[in-house]
Amino acid sequence: MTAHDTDRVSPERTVESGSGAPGNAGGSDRLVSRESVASIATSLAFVAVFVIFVFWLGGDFYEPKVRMFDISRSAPQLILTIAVVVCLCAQQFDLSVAAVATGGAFITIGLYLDAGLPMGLAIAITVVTGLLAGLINGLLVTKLGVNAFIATLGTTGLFAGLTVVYSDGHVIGPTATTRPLPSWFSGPGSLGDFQNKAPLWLGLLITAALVVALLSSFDQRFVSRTLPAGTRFGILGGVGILLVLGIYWTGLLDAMDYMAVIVFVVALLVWLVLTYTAVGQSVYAVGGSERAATFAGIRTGRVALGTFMFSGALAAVAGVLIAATQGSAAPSVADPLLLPAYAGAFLSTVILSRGRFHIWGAVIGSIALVYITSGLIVGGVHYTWTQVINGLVLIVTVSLSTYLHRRQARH
Amino acid sequence: MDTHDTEPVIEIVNLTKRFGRTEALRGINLSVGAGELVALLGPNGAGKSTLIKILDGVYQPDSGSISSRLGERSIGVVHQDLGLVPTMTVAENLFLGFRGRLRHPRAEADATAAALRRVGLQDVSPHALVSALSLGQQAMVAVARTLHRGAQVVVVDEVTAGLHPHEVRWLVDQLRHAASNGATVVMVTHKLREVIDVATRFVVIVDGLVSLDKPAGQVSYDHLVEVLSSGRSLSTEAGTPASSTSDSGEVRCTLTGVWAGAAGPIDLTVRAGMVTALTGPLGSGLHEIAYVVAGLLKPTRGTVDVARGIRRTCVPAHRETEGVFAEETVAFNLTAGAWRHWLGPGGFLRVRRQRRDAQAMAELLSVKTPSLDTKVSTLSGGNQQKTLLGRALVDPPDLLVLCEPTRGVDVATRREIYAQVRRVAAEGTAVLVASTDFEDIAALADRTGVLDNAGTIMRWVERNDLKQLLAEFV
Repeated sequence: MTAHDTDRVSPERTVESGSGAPGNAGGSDRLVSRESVASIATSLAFVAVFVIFVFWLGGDFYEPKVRMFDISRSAPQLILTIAVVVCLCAQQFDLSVAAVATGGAFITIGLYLDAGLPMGLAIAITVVTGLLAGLINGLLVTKLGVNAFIATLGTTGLFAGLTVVYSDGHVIGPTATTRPLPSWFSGPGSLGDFQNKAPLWLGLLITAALVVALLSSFDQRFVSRTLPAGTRFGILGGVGILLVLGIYWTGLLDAMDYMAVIVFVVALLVWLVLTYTAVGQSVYAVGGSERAATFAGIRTGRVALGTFMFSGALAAVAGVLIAATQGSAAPSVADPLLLPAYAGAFLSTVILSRGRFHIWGAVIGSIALVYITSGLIVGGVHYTWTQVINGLVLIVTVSLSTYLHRRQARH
Repeated sequence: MDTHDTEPVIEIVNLTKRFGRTEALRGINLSVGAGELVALLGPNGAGKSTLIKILDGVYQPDSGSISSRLGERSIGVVHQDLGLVPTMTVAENLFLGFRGRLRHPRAEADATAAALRRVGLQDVSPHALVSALSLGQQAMVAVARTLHRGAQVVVVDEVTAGLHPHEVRWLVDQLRHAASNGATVVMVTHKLREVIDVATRFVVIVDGLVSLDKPAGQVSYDHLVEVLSSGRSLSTEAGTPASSTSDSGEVRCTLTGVWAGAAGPIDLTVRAGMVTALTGPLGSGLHEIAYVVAGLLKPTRGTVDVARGIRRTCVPAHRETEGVFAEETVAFNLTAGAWRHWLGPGGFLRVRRQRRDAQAMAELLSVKTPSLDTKVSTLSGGNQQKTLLGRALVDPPDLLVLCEPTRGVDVATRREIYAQVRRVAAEGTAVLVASTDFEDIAALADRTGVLDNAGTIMRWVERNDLKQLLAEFV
């Protein structure tokens, strides 16, 4: 059969199911699809909650300093969310991130105070230790074939136990007899101090990068390709500039501190790698179907191992941030962060995505989650309810995303 | 056995169904009588699966009716995956899901034996584990279960895919046997050859309409092929060899004494510019050998010599589990694993060029999809298969390995795939085809290794001697 014959076959046959007619014109000429409506609806629900809070709690709820402080104080949680999301993208679970974060805080403080190492070296060793912890998880899962849930539950016990053994259950921090923590690391005017603001140009740069990332994500997912490229870029560029100016106008940037900067930079880097590199795409491929990935020539074992090592390293970074903000390391300090980290990660499956895990959805979802809990606390709900709220959000999101997914499959 | 003039068991009148703008069924009229073995044929996307899903109660028709003189639940569907639990016995499978009473193993075994007799499976024990049966026997157990649950009409949907020709022949004969015992069997298949001498009636659906409905005596093989390929020219049926000289191409891969899966020892040479093929029964390990050549599987013994620095790609045997990333887009599926091809500065992908190449490949293979961003699982099986072929070709390989390249694919798509494979072979790619489907071999192979049940190559057949191989298959 010649190429000519092959071409002739095309116009006659139709796709059996699905909404589209044959050819490139079908389906994609709608500006937004059904699934994007669902994910936009979820996003609007969060906006609605925010608006309700503003009315309920008065204008004080919308105070840029407070809102940025919420992001800043949850920096370790947000970093853990990113670690968890990368694993989930590859269909792996890492439950040990909280224990690794606690361990990271202890190693940083311990190496500096007890071993007398310079802080920079202590942080580097902490990150490498996190990498090794991830390596243990990854080897258990990929080489020995242990179920990821059980393997990381086991190593949680291991890592958390070692911190308890090392600290004897006590908080470790600078005392009168030890040297103090470096002034750039912890304490007033340091990395961990919310009052120490990042310069405005840094805030603007990060905002611009975030807006570009979000809009290009949006462009790839939702906007019709039938619009001419010039119009598309014109609209998106205009919206982008308005967004940056809008965010500047809110005053959030003036309140941005280094913790928030770290969170956004990490999110940007991880997003870039996941979306625009072969490594990132192979993470999605392994998450989509491990067998299919194998037959596409992807070394699935290495990819899975890599995601565990990455999440281990990132969890250790979260531990460093905890040490910086608190100026000490306490047993189980990161434990309460595990649940919100997973809740945020699963929120990404219903926000700004097609039922799959996504960095921006996770970051935005986590921040929204923090705002909801802090709003409720401001409104008079006792702070002890935080865990309950996080648990509820996790259950509701997972149910919702499963439900939407099933409905979609039926159509 | 021509019972087409008896009173119909099922009468389908003017059935229509549309999805969005696509009319899947445009008014199906069909009546089926008792004791018939109806072969339901049609290209992919013709509406067969929609019709089956309506018969199965998954979809509601938009208009039209299905009436049965035996009552509501008289139609049962046996799907390709059979729906049996392999770790349970035949009897347990037959009674799975029966509610409201205690189990009674002996009575169940007796009832199972009776149900098995009805479909001619006397020699299968009710106590046998389903996993211990051959695939053909498993299919018949599924049919027996459907009949046992009160169905008078069994729709058998594509269960022969991946079976060895001998087993297909056995299975079709069993179905005929079940039909002669009073059941009505509707067999859905892509492969006309399987049913040509056995079915009592042929029904062809094209573009949502019944385009042919005739008793076996009144229709010829050639005419059926013509209707099935919707009037497309048949002159390319025989095909031309990719290269006339069998042993001239440079050697890309050599296996020496290789054992893998059930196969071994295998000696095999894959050369540039020609299509080397392996065929044999499903359990012979031919796919494992193909995966060894593709570098996806380590042989348990033996040596594999691969030319230095060549790119190898593979279209795996099982599209659903090993092939597509069902949740991902067509664009992702076309480019997965070949990312190195678009590597740009700093390790970032040149996404625009990647997308352009995906678009070009989709057009070259005429993949029918609303857009490159469509989820691949919404495409028809044939288009998914073409997507997989596209992935294997998008970064041109030096060695292309194809396992069952046309599994569950209609006649037209089959020809398109053959044309593309022959083209890349003519351009100098080394191609290895491992297929249990004789049509693949006949259309593609320059040289064919025939494996026996024990997994050794009985002999090599050159292109000119393929006729003799055909005689063995049918």
